[in-house]
Amino acid sequence: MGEALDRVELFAGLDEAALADLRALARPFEVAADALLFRQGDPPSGLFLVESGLLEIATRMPGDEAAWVSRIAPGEVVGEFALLDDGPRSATVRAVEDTSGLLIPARGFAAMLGEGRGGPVAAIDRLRGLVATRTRATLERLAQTSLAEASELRRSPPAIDPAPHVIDAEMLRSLGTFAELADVDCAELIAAGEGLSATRNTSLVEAGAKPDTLYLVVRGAVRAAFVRGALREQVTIHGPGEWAGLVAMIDRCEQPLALDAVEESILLRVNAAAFLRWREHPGRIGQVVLAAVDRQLVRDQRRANRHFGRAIALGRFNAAGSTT
Amino acid sequence: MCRIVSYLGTPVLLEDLLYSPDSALLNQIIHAQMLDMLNLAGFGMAAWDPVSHAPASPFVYRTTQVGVFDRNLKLLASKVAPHALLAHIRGVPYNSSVQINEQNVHPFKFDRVPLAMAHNGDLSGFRAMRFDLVEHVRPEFAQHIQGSTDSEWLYALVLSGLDDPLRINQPEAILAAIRRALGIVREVRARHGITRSSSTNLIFCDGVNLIAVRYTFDFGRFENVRLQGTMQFLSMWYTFGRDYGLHGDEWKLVGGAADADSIIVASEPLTRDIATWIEVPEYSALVVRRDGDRRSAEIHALEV
Repeated sequence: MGEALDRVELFAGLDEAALADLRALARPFEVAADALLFRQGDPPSGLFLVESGLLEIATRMPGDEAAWVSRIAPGEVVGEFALLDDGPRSATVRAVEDTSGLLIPARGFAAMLGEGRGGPVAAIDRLRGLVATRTRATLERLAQTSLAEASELRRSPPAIDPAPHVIDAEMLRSLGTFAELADVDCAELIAAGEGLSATRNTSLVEAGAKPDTLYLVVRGAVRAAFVRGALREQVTIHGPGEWAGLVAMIDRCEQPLALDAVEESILLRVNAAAFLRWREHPGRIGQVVLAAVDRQLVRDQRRANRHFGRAIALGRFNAAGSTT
Repeated sequence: MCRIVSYLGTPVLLEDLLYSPDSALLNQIIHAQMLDMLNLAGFGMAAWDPVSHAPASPFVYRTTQVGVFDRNLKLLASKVAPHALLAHIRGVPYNSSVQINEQNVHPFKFDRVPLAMAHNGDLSGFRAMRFDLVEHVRPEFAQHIQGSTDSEWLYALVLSGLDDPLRINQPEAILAAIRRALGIVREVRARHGITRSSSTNLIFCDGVNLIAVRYTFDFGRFENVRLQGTMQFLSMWYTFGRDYGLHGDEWKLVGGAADADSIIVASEPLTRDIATWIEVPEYSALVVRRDGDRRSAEIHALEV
């Protein structure tokens, strides 16, 4: 058992010890043609590695229509959110053909990750990359299609450098994610970046900028948006406890979205080197930071998908909706 | 904090929106899925029934009774089938300073004014702010204010921005009045140095148009540590389709977006499975309007 692991592109190049950790966790799964592997809204059981067969992913949107469909072939994975976040399944997966492979259960994986074992640490970093890549692909598709109505667009704010601002341990602990951090740990986190105060309606980062900026929102709100000429198309708002600029920091490509402070905001700008260290050797602070990052990567992809779904659904509704 | 549900479309039995789905509005009194509190301070609704006497005027019902124990409401809900609805359950802090009375139950709808409004959220520092709001409220509306809530003042502020509040207005006029009201609130907050997060999630309905506003001043600036990073209770959701009802084992609108003629907008989905629900974006308004013999929906940016 476990040969499927060697054929999964996502885990290609992992060392033998890491693969052995994952093999120890993996369980076989089988699903017959036309049966459901899991439904949107189900609790997450784990990550599925497909060895043979074919799966189909579908999400639903208003009117109970399938929003889009994609297929998962041997060597590919599905259900990756389950190892990053404990939220319900975001899509329904059905077997097109009899399909089998390996399941890496979320609970066992989390336990091993908590021990800092090499396999899960390396595997979850690959998953981060996978989710960031998929989010970027959705954003790029959105950027090209420009489904937003003119009424939805907003003015681009001026770029004004944020001022230095002292962030203390209490401010960090007020964010649920860091509530349990001791003073010494908070100090280490704060030292990994610089505290800033941004004025309302100012641009922080332009789309296309280098991936060297990641903001933790401590107070206030940061908008992530497409640039549409002189205007912005809002994709999401990052409130306190959220990270802005995450996709680029993970996949090390340019910032896909512009980031603007839309309220008076206090931010911790984390430097890229510190973030990279956490990814390679999480340590105590890194584990807490990355757990929050992983949840947000999932959230960001869901938001990008919802933004896409909303635009498509509204377009269809307006094209043919009739009154009674 | 409160919970709201609104509907515009093919007539549907009230029971199907208020009671039947697993997270229907009345079930949210005790078990809201996106708000960690009980909503015990009253139930109210405005329901436009096309086969009733004077169908342009809604049937209005308000009670301070906890809705789940209200037998009259339950019986009504099995008989009335409106094509438009704005219903609200009120949630307030658990202390004796709160005024529980019928005048504070949403939705607000002044006599002869077609537009009704319900609010989820609160304006921090409202008691100090309201004296500065008076000058922006028309006297005829100021004297209508009977309750003690920030919500009723917001309603009066919006009405005061309409050229003719006594008729059905175009959505553009209502949106302009909403922007004006939010601008006034922002200015008064600044004058009083109020920087705490304050939410004005509002749903307006006049039986023809529906406008849902998701807007928070100083988003995320809480003093209450417990609230940091928990903004889900300030979200707003919608779904559309046709033939709302129980399909298979699930309450939903079916029929696809292209054949849709009905829309539900609510402070949280009416079902635990939120797969067919979409969020209204922050700092935005969802406008559902009659467009000739059709109905259309748009998102409008709210930059105030």
